[in-house]
Amino acid sequence: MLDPTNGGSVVKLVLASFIIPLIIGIALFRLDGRKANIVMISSFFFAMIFQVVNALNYLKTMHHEKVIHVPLLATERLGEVYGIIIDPMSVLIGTVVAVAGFIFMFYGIEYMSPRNRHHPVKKGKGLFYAWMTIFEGATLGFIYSSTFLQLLIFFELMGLACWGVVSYYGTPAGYRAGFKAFIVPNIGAIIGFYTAIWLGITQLHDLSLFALKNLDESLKLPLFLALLIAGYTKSAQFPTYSWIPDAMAAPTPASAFLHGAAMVEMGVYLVARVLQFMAPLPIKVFYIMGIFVSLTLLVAVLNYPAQKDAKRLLAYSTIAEAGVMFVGLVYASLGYISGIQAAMYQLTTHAFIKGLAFLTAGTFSYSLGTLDMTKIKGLKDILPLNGFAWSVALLGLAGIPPMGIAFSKAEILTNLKAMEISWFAWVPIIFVLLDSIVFFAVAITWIKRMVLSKTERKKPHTHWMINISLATLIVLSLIVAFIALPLVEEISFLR
Amino acid sequence: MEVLGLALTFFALGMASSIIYKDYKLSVRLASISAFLGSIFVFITAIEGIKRRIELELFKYFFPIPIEIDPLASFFLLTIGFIGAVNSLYSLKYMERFDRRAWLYALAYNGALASSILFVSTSNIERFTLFYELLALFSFILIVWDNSRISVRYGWIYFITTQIFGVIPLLLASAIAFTAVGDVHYLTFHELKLNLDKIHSLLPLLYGLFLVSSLVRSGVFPFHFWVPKVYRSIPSNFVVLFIIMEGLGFYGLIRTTYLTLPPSRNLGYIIAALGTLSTFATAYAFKSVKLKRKMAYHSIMDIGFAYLALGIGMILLPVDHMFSTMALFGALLHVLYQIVYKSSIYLFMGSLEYIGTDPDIFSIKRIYRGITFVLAVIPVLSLSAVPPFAAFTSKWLVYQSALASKDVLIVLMFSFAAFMGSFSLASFINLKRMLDKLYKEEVEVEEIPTLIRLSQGVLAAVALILGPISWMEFSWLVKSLKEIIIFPPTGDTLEIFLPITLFSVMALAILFGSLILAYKIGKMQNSKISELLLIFYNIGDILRDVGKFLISGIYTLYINYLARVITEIPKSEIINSIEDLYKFKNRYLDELVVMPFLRFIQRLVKDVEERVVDMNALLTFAAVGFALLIIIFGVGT
Repeated sequence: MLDPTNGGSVVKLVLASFIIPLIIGIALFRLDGRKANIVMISSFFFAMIFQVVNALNYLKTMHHEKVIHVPLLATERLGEVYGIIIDPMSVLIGTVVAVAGFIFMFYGIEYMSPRNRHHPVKKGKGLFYAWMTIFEGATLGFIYSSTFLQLLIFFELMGLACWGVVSYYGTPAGYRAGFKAFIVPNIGAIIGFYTAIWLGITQLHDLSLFALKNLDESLKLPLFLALLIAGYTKSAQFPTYSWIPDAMAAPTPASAFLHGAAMVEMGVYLVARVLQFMAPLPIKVFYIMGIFVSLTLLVAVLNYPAQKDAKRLLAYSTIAEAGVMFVGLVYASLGYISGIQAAMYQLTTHAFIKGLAFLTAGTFSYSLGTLDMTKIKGLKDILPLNGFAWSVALLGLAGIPPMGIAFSKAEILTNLKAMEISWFAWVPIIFVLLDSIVFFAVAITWIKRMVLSKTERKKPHTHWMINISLATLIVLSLIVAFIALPLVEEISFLR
Repeated sequence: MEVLGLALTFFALGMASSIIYKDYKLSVRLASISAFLGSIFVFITAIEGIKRRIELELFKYFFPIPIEIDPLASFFLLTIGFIGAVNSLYSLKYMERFDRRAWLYALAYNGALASSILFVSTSNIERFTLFYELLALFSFILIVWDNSRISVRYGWIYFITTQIFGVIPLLLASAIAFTAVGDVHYLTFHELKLNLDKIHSLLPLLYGLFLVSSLVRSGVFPFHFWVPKVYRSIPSNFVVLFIIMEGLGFYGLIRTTYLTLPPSRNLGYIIAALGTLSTFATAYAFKSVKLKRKMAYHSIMDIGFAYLALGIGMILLPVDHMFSTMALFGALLHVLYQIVYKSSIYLFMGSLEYIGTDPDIFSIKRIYRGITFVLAVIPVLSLSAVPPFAAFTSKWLVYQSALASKDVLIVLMFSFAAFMGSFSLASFINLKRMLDKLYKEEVEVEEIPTLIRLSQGVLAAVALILGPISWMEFSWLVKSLKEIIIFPPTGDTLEIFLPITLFSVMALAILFGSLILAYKIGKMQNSKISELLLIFYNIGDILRDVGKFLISGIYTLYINYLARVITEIPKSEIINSIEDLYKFKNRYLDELVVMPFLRFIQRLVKDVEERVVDMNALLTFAAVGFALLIIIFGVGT
């Protein structure tokens, strides 16, 4: 399982990729202006480089079917307390988070400037950068964690950072949303992780995920359900979904990060990680997850047509897209590895397309001073790149090829072979299709209204940093499905 | 470099040409010449493909596309190459009518041709899906090219239809295929065929997904609605590409189901039934005054007939190999014929547009009985199944196999299609009658450029000889299509076309009977014909109304009931449209459950802060609470 001689440098890179942002994040609380820009972007840049080098290294030099597991601290009574797991899944998602995070914050430098029409920022952006950098560090730390205690710590740290960025603008709505975004996943954490840690201390005498194989069969179901609640609260799944539309109060780069690459996705990642060790589970889990994910998708579908705020529309799309990832996990609970692979594939492709959607919505704030889609017209003439990016993003989210997310959504369907076990396998898929169809109809309506319509408005101000970020994300959202596939295919159970 | 690679290079050059040159005429010429040269190379590839199977990998290092050109693919490539070349020559002159967006024309026209070729040639299911999508995208651009309000509107209808019912099903089918094959790099039709046992339970779904995507591409019922709208609103040379694409839908269905999945009689019945329902479009062709719209309905009818024939072939496959093969041959020939004669007719309409009129009965006046008009009569006769023209041959084959099937359902469907088929000729006789009444003199007042006439003439000539050639070249046809016949007939290849049986005589009698009927109907007064067709129009209206009712029902349900669940709309408020919802706040279902409890705690805390609490009541409340907890835990343990 572990080959420390080969894995040594990889482990160091992984540790550096999340410890450096955590330390720099704390320092950033004291910085502002250009200095803050440089320090923040350097942190994100190095995290990205470490992750990309790590991924390339892993693909080239390691036997990537092997898992590198390094316990960092172990005691006699608690077993492994802290540790690292490096496997195709953590390498893939870690790289996605770091690359997406860098692009979002590169864009964020210009977004958090006085030139932003909707939210001009003159000073105090160090606070925002600090929370964002900690956010990234916590997310990367979470991804590579091998114990429940470590998962809990980073889970809470993510929650704290989320509270920090959502309430950043200091409005009453922002404070309320920030509090809600902190408290809801926190309840999930109490239920899920406290149960897991309690079982780890009392039953397994080990907090490691690897110890789950020794867990009594009768305890598997309650533990998984408790962790599922943690995952649901983090991923804004029904019935705890409303914190995410409210969390729109955050600055757009933060929204992109917490919707596209971190926070919401980490709920899915947590459940996927647990399933790697616990699947197959009793069929009850399949039905429970199937029902909840279908309800989640239904809530999103009902809400799409009623939205006029660009970010709110995307928030409901996030709920649904995380739901689509959970659909993959529904099948994984039956023991299909293709379910986890599809979920992680969807997580990867979604990160860039959702990032593109949010950053484009951010440009509406930045250039036009509004997020109200009914007030935005003629993008093809006044902001052609933004109009194109918005069309690509909305069509992509609806599952239209050649955007990469179309392929990952199709991959979800390969799990329909679960039909052999139960006809119920159809139900979540039908809701995924319904979601795609309704979102597509809504997307087309808005593209026609916002992009292809005519306007008298003059060309507004935009910035090269914003344009580069959008162009990069358009390219990535087209090619990511091909780049990610080798790692997705390597994801396996870790029993 | 492979010839196919050369063809694609020319199409790519055509796409890029207009970006380099800003001048409209020069751009259009470059784009059309590139498309012409590309099509010629496609034609050469197809001839090579008929001689020997071509297997290669294009763009090996950049974006590998596995190519496998078998006789079936060659058959379609031959058609695309030929029609593409003629149409591109025609476009050289025809596109001079316009003066803007040359770059978009160059991009979409060459792009559509290139994607058509790759769609037919690739053996990889994932790439097949991708080229289907590219076809949809480029054809969408062709529709919205002139940016008129009407074409943009129809363009969106087309785009939404192709995406939801074409691309998404194919994508899902690719995913299922991936489950079977397990490796995206070898996701070929052949590998899927070998691994079908792994997805046995998903086979019905796979049939459905492939079928739906083909129906959309071909414009067959119930996805026919975009055809008359789109054909009516776009330039005639673009329609020709759409007619090729109709054939590609048919090709896709054969490739994905007939040649890849196990034979299914049920699927055969479904395809035949949908094809039969599509032939009903002739009734609408009859009453259309605008000629492009009229011909669009004829197109639905013709491609529907090919689907009916394919369905019959599938049903008969396990029962009678010879008649099954005959039906399949009939279907393939009918698709080929329809592409040729329909393209020729649309080029004729383009001539009318070129002289500045909207193609209708009145505009024909300007070239009535001139050479251009004569060139249009030939494909019309081919379409009407007048012997020895093209459709006569294909229909005879299909009629024979339908009669030989001895299957009540097939005979019923075939009888319906045969009856509706007679309206094709009838509608033209009717048109001719009206023309004679309107204009007694021969007139050809307008000068039509030679290149346009030449292109139209070439197609008309081919439409003229196609039928007889098919008769003469049976052995070549059978040989070239041998691979797609699961059980090739033995002995003289003529047997398959000319088995002197009771059925062939009966089929011939029905064909001639239909022509006589068509002549009679064509001579009838319009009001009487309308009465005759009223029942079909009523059925059409009922179907359309049911569709509208369902859509408006969902909409009403949403704005009146479902939207009230997810938004905070006061009860007294009347919602008329989705726009009305924008002014209301979202209602969070989770908060709805949790908030009463939170408010209760808030109130409790407030009470404790504001007034002296009755301690006795509080203690009693706590004691009861504890007691309840103990009971619950006691029961639990």
